Amino acid sequence: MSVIVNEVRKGFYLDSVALMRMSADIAASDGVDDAVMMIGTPSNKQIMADAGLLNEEGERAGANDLVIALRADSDGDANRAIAKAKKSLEGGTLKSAGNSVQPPTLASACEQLPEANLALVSTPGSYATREAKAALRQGLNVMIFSDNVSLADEVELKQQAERDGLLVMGPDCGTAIIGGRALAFANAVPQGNTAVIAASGTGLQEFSVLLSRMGGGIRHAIGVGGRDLSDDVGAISTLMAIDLLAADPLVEQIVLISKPPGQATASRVFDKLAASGRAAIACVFGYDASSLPAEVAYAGTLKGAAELAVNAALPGNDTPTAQSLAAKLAPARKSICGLYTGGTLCTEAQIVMQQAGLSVTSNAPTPAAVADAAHEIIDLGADEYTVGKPHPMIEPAVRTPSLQAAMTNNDVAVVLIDLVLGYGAHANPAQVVAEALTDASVERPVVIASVCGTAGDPQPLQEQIAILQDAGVIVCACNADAAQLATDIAQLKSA
Amino acid sequence: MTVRTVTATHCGARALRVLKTGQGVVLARFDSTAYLENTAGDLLAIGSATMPAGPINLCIDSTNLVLPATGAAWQYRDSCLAVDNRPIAIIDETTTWTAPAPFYRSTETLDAGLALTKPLLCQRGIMASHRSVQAQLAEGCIALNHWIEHPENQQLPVPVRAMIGCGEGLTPAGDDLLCGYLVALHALGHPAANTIADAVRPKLATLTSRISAAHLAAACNGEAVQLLHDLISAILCNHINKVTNAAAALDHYGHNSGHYAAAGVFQALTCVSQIDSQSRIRSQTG
Repeated sequence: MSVIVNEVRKGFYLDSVALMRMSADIAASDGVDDAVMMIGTPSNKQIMADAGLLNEEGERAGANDLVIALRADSDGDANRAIAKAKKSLEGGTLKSAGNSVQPPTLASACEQLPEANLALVSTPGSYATREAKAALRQGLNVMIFSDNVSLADEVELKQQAERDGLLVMGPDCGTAIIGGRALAFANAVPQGNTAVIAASGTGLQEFSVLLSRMGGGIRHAIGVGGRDLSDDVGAISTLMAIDLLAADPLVEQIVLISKPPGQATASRVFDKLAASGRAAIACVFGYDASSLPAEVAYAGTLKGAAELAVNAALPGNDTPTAQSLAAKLAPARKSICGLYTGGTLCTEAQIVMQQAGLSVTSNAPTPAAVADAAHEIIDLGADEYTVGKPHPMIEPAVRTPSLQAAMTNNDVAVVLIDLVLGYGAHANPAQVVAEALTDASVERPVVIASVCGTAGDPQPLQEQIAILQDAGVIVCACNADAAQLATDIAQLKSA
Repeated sequence: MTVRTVTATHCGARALRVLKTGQGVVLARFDSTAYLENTAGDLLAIGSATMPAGPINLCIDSTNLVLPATGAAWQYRDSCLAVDNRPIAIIDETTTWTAPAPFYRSTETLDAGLALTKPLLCQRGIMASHRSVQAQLAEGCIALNHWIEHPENQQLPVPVRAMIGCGEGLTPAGDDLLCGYLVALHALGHPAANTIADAVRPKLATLTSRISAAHLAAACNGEAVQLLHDLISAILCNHINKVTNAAAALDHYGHNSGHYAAAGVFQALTCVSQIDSQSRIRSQTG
């Protein structure tokens, strides 16, 4: 016998994002069959009534009242869910009530914390430049999380910073670790003697995670933004970062993770890296390793870079062989469909497949990608998938329609996915994947995943892996291994 | 001590009318916006300059705007908005934002603009987290399209009535969609715009929240945020880059508000285009 409970907040307004997030959280509570949080307009009350969610209390709500309506298995489940909803609303209310002690301006922030030497700018792109300039004037290094900063503004900011001896990280710098402290999207990794300079977020995350699994640690990880190594920007921040890291006595090696630099810029970057006085590794996807200075070791994948950094091999997971997985697939299933939340992981998967001779199509193509290939690797974090929607690292349900479509496609042999854990990422991405696979038929593609995370992340790694494995997902030790296993299966199926 | 005064980048004409009544209280405050009401219960939205210009929007030239708390009293005197006697912004009343005037070039440019827009908007369709909402909105759109063909009907059709206040969020999806639909019809100067608006306007107070009703009331007069006007004008000008940019910008407006408003625009323009096309065929064959 199910229980319907309604709670009405009179004259209560909450913004849509908070409302929908809370609504989804409550609907996912144990023992809750269905739940919504909606304003009590006549139309919404009819919808709640039709869905079997409305009782007399909810019926009395007006158009300016918020109704929490749920149907649960028992009174206990209902009460727990309502308590959770109230707690969430209280959080939302407090957040909106202005009780925070956050300083409203950069100047007042500097007054509160005079020893600060770095400002993180996260405003809409058109304002980021102004705030970054203000921070530079205050003598602060700047991390620009914002995207949509123009190339001209980026160059101007970085040139100004260079003159002032300050570092600009970004724009679109989503990940950094400074002095062992994670900023924005990052994983809980131990401190160590390795420093990273990365033009990408998930590339930096995957490297730092793999390094930590082999006993290494991160001293600093500096994001420079995807355009820094272009000839237009001239690697201003990368070159400054190399100098800064080389001056830190606790840094023993410097790893650069990037797409290939611009032609005019490459030699300056690699020569400086070679002359840094530290062991140097360049993980530059698709780059001609023979053009690197002898002092700079080359890694073709993030896994390779991490292995070079600790001089050890990454232990693999105990996964079935490609032969055994291929044997279970119907003959028509030959292609790989990659559905990625991490842009650099998407690139790395393409590189692994291309190195094995597979032709790959992608919306975020490497130079070797082709149109209309049998295998497709999609970056679901790219603009065309995130317009008006959250990034799939924050809301992995964005991937669900594509995942379910791939699972019902009779040509697909392997569905290749990534999960990125850590600060800022979704609380339980594995569960979202598992739920998306619930209705998949017995005869279905192999699902292969890698999980970029650590035991210390807010979403503990082993718990996430266990959820995936329970859903029948093959979990590899890293993205490169996952892409390699997918490649092996595809090659067996085409043989 | 230097008192720093910020100015408004945009103040919608409706927002200014609310301000000029002199005083009121803060109805609700969110992370980036607050709604101020006057003693007559009319609303305006105040936010930083990242908030798009619009009929009820007061955009302040600051990224560090400290929004007033719910229940605080506001006053407007000598072009200065103050909350609890603390100056918030100076409003230059000569730069009042008003919606662009209606313009409709030709059926051919509308058809061509829609062809450009279709891949951008059509693929997004109407989506809602609850299937019932989705069904309600789809029925509402059918009824609206039918209404355009039969504007002699003065009564609010049941499916359109059910659309108002339908959906999750601060401004329900049905309201956003209807907003886009109405503003597009007004932009075309279509006679059904006023018929629909006249039927919708008196129902707002009972069918949806005050905040959403304030936006919809403006849409009944053909006014919405500038982003929506930009999209409509880009479609009617048959300019692919402008359409792409405007659609992307609108998609970032609100959680889903821009998405639904764009869907409403597309529904209205497509319906008008189809009716025009049918009447052309009839006139050619008859």
